[in-house]
Amino acid sequence: MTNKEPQSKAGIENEVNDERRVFVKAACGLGVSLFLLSLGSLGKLLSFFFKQDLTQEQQEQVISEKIQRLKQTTEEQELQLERLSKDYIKVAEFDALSPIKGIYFIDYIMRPALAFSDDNGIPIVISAKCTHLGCTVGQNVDLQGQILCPCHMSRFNIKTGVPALGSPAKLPLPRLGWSLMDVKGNILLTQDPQGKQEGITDTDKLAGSSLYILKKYS
Amino acid sequence: MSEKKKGLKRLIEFMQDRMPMHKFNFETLVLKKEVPLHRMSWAYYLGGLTLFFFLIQVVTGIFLLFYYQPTVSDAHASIEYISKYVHNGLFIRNLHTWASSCLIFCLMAHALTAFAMKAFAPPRELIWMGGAIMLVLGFAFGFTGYLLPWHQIAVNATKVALQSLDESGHYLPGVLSGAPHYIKEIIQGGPDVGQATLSRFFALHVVILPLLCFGVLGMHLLSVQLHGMSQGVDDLPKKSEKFFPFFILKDLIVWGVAFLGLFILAVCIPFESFYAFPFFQAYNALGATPEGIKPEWYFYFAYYPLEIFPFWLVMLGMTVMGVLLFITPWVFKKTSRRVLTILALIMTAYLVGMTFFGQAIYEIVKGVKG
Repeated sequence: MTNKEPQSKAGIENEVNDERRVFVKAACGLGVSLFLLSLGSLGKLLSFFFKQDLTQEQQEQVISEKIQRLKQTTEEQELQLERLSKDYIKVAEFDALSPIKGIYFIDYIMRPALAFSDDNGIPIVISAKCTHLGCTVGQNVDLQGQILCPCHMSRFNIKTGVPALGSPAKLPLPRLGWSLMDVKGNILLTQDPQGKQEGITDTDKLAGSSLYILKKYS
Repeated sequence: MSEKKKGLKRLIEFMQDRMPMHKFNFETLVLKKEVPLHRMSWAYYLGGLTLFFFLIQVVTGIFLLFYYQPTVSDAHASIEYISKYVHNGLFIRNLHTWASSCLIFCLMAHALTAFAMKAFAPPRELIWMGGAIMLVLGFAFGFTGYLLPWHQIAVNATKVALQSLDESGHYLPGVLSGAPHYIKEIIQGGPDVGQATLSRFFALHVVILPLLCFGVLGMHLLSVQLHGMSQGVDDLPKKSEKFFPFFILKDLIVWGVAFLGLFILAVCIPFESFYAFPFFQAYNALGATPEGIKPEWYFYFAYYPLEIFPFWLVMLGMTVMGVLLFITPWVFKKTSRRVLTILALIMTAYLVGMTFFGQAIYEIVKGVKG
């Protein structure tokens, strides 16, 4: 408010009109800027819901990735079905087993497991679900004959499954029962979860056979 | 019989004091509402800020719902699709992730300052309880939302967390020892973390938790409005300002600045840049767990102690703190604000220490052990 005394009635009216004009101008300015601002940002936000313009190449990529994931899911479902319906499940070729790098497979209760061979070439089959908090243990064997769980650094001896001293895991990785079968389905060598072996242990004669896990041991 | 009636009458009186609905009028809520001015006044903005981030989560969450597909084969692909091809998809997703962290940060700060200012003193017990419930809900939101992208770190971290829950059963007596296992089975829904778990977490994250949250939030806000702002300091504050239009304007300015900050963060820094890339590959059920699985930063306060100390000790500590959180208004009824402030500072130091230096502490302790 001004201190100036208005000279006349017309003067007061002029002043009021001036104030009103300024207010209207400011309000219009604010309104327009807000409108433009919202137009810009809302347009951007709305475009989130618009159809995506993918090039042919991108479309192909999206679809092929989708198919790949679906295949992966199908594979897992098939594994599950196989475990429900079959008494034997093939895990690996006998000749592919290695003492330094394990082969991952899924056991009868859909948990990860690992297959190695010992120094004599006889299979070692143990669960790969860490007994601490359930992470999947690594497949690489270190110089002490141990595998490592990456979550909390538990180390397990692959022959006994026993965790190394100082590991957070206290229980050993359970051993799985297995059989080696030749192409005709004859059992050459078998071992139960307690470690009792039965059959041929001459690795030359076992060549060409395959490693299976058995439902009766699960 | 008469004693029972007395108990019921007392309950009614208790509720009448906590929910003074006669104050629900324009005069109390708008014309007369005031905010005390003192050296802790800045803490009055934290509740509003938490609400602001929650609103951001609701909006961006609904946006994401248009494209996200909650199945084990499609979840990760749909997230990638949002990030790569949907207009502003990466931005919206990044906004959702950043705001979740901001939300939990504000929740914790709001709880700590409310504690220090004794904002739970009668008749505000129920406001505190509502807040405590929402703090738990906030963590539940974080935990369930973490799994939804279905990448390596998400699924593996969820596995570890659920297995930890299972483990806690060993430390409970008798019949109770089976309870954590049942709870885990209910949450997990299958022999392992899989489609059933994803469906459950999705339902929790987008329907059940929000519904619960809206209910509790409504009660929380309504009772804050009815009781007005808490005094906050021991001596009756000499100065105060009107909520309308002064405080609310300042509140909106804080929201504006927060939004600007969040916007810049979401545009400039992908949240995922804090982790190594292999964590964000689609979860592979047939492979090994990648090294370095960790929960989100807001769980470090529980995660690092679990790594360092014996399991039972941490579980005991967490249980005590959890119970204490809910009975705070009665335990600290007669404690002075000075003591409460010291306790809140200790708690803050613990949270900051574990969140920022947890890894360093862990390495030192493990190094000494080794």
